[in-house]
Amino acid sequence: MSAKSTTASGELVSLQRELERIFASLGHGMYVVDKERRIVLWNRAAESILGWREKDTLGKDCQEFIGHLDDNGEQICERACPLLDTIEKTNTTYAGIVWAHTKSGELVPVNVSCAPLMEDGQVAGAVEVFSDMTHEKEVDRLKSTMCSVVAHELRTPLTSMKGYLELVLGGEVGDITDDQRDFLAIVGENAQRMQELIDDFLDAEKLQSGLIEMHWEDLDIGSLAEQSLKDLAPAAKEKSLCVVVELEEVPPVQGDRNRMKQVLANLVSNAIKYTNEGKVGVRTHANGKHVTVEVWDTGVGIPKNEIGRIGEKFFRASTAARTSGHGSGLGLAITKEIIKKHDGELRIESGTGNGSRFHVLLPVSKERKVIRNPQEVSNE
Amino acid sequence: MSDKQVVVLAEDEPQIANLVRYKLEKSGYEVLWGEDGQRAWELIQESKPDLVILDVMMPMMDGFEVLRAMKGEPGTNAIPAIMLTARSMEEDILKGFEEGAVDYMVKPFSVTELAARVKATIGRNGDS
Repeated sequence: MSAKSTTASGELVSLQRELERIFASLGHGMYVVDKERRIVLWNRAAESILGWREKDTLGKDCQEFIGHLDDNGEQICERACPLLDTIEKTNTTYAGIVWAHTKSGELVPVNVSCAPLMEDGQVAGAVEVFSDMTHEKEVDRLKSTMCSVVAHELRTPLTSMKGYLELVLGGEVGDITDDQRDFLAIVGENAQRMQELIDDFLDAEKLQSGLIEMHWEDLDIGSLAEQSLKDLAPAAKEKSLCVVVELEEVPPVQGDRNRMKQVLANLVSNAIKYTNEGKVGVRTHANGKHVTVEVWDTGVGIPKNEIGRIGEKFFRASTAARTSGHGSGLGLAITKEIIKKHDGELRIESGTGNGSRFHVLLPVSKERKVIRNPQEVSNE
Repeated sequence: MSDKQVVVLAEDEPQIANLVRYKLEKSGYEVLWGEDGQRAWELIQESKPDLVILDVMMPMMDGFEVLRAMKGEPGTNAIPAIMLTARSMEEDILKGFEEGAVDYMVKPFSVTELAARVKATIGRNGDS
């Protein structure tokens, strides 16, 4: 008997040691807090990322060591602490990229994820795992700089190509045959497509990096929606699509007129592009807080499992790619980014072959928050 | 001396410069080409043109620097300038206007539209 229990406790000790070894050698920073947010475990990777030693941290409030900051450098601990959030909303987990300060006072971007630790059905604390994203952030920055440089440099040869074509097609350097004209027109159309791609690309980059200045004013979103449908009516007519307009009177929203037009034009032109027969339409309605514009169609739809990826740069739904070879996957990325800048939201209802319905939710003017919380936005 | 209206074109890309020159010469202007900002500024001072077209990104002096130099000289400060920019960045466009440009075009631009704007600008300037 006693020999058996000795073996059992020996196994426990060895299991505990093994867990400690695993915890210590984990490549990700990891710490555990009790429900008062006091640190009870702090591993070696956490030491090396943040500089605080385990002995400095044990038993202390985790906020002293790993404050979570948003992109503007503001503390988000009290309003959106992943751990508090986790503890209060039992069984919820949190993941996202935040900034943490190191012992030496520097800020490092960290990708955190945390989950509650349960004991007898009660939250007993939480565990957070985090990794240093410095390298990824730097790669990201270099990538976007490189893309902008390349895109800008492409404009110069494009200017030459389009300019000389314009002279030749304009008959300014002599007569050309009909075949020559047709073929050169194809060259021109492709140069135009290249230009649009570059423009969209730069636009998406600028929006994402926050370099775009918005010109806020009160907008009548219904009339903008109607206008975008009118502008694109010839394209709908060409495909014999029925156009449906259902406009309820809605309160004004604060927005940038040109950018909002861009959003609506993009959604309506997509609706037409990906609908071969049936209807396309816009609808507006409002509740107390939001004005919603819906742009819908009876087209090819988006497979349900791909809806979450809509708005990712360069992502195209498989149904869209099959319908039309052309498309950069940037239009909706730009659209989503603009809506985000308006503190709004893009919701998508769709399914393969069932058409699509894009809901653009915008806060009514008086509800619009003055200060945005970038954390909420970046978690989308 | 020809009685044609004179346009100084500051553009470091020879192919784009030739394109603009071809179109403007066909439209009846005399075009003097400066292959960098410094050369263009010399041509502006020597010829006192009716209009200047300035690329923004150029060696020696960029388009904004040439524009500033023009606006700082009594003999050249009334000459209208159109900026050519490869950037559609709003701040560049605003900067151009703040420095005294009368118009701008973003590359890739339509050479026919540029010729039309040159005509309109010179006409406007001649009337005033």
